[in-house]
Amino acid sequence: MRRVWPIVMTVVLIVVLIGAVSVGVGLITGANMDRVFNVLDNQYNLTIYYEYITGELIPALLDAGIIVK
Amino acid sequence: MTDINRHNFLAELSKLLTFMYEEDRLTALNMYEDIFQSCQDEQQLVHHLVSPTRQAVILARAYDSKERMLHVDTRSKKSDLYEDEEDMVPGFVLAIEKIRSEVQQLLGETPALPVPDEQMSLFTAEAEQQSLIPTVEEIIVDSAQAEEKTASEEIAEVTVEEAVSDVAAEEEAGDDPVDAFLAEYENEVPVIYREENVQEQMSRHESARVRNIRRERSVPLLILYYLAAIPLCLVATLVLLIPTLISLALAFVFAVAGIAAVSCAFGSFVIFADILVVLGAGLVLLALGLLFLWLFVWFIGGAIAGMINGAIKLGNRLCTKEVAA
Repeated sequence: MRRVWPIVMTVVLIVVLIGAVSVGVGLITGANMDRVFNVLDNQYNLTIYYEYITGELIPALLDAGIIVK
Repeated sequence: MTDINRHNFLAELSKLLTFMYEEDRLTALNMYEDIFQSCQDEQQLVHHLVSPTRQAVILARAYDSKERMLHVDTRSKKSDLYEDEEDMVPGFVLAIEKIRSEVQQLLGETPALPVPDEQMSLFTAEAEQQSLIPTVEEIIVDSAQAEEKTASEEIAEVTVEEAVSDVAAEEEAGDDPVDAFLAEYENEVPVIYREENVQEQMSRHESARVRNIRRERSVPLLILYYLAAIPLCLVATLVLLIPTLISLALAFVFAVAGIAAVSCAFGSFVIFADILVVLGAGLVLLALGLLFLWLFVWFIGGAIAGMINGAIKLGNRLCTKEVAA
């Protein structure tokens, strides 16, 4: 187990670094976040999930006492 | 140095020659016994031979185990003498013969004069004494029994064969390789015939005492321990299951989101900069998913299993008592 930790962390850090560099290069070369969000919203209905979480799930959890404000 | 006699010398040499084939070992021991028998001053001979360890090193250097492996089998079907095959006389036999000739030169042996019949009674006692002297086979058996009894003889487990390669390297240095080896051997491993200090003896006694102690479980204590430990372990396991399941859920969410982002990046976007942004975000999500997946595995296999193993080991340690074997 102890020997696997460095391997996992190395892989995670490398992938995160590659991802961050990709995002940075994309933003520098003219990516538009509104456009990206619209495409993803059309594809996966992100707004509906967001509204469900903020409008219904979190108030329900607050009422149940699971989440304390 | 302690005084050793022929019996001790041959017994120790027999133990040190275990790297040789049995047939060769017996041959070597018989030759050494012949040397002892032909020599009148035993102590002077032992002084000349120095120690069994030294003789074992000499034999080890002259012994070619690969070559002997080929000859031992065929020799067992032929005569045991080496005189008929001058070119096939093994190196260790030549080494012993050399020692024999050195001994004869050093001690200046002369052939025994004919003894008158009236003086034969003087030798009958000696002859009887000779018959009391154990044979090589008896010495080997005695040495094997002594090996089982004494724990201190474990130090002789460092075989001479292992050290021969080092001796070969030292030979190139110019000095007598046998002496160089023995000097190094004495520094590393206590030699049997060297006087040992009290501290070494005490540490050996202590290690022998530890070896003679075995741990016996106390069943009532063990039952009490498990009665207390099982509920505690269950509670701890349930507590640890919360972060475990949270890790699993997060790993699942991040992995699904990452896969969706990467697949969407190549399917739904046309602008390369947008593809890069979504692809980068997908990779970050996948990396987080991998991290949480590993956390889940670690909680299951490391934390929970380790806690249970630790509880079992603690129980075994706390609920055992030392009993003399």
